[in-house]
Amino acid sequence: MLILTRREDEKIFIGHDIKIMITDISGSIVKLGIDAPEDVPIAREEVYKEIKQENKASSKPEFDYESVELDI
Amino acid sequence: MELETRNFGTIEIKKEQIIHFPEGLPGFNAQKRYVILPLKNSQYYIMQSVDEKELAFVIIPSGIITSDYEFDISESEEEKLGVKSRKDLITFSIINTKDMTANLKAPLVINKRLNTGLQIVLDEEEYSLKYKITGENNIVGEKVTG
Repeated sequence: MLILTRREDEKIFIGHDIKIMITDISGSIVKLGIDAPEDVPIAREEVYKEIKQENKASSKPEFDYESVELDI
Repeated sequence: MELETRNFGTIEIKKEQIIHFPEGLPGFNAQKRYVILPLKNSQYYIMQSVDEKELAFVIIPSGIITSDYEFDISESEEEKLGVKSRKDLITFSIINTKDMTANLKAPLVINKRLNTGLQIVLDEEEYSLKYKITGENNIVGEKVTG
């Protein structure tokens, strides 16, 4: 992993069209401003983790199989 | 072809029924092929993995649980799905049968023309990961309400 040190208001570029700016630092909270093309998906890591967990929790569905029939 | 299912024994399916998820689903990246099987007297469907017998989901067309459900998909997502017309797209929500909630935050989007699918993540507060749909763990007969 590449680690860069930046101060408030400083920026980094990823490729030519993704720009990340440190807009505010207060205590342990850092605010990032992100400029990226519309088609680049951006999500907080926790959101992906939540989706993974929820998919896992839903992946072995429990219901009354005896009363259910496929309609095929 | 024959397909072993988690809960319904071995069934016969056509290859054309198989939906390809090029990225798999979050948490299940390796499993990329599913079939969607309707249930009798139910608004729910079973999404069964073709690659792994023990992997299956209960899903429901998103429109049934909420009429006010709109989101944008990005150009790169459209490319992955091979979208020519948005009319070809249908959306499902995965059900967690333990607490009977629907995942509106990460809908399944399927291009029915090419049988491609993606689970897309909506990083917006307004849609819930655990949208309560009904008080009972009963997926047959009962009308689903949001």
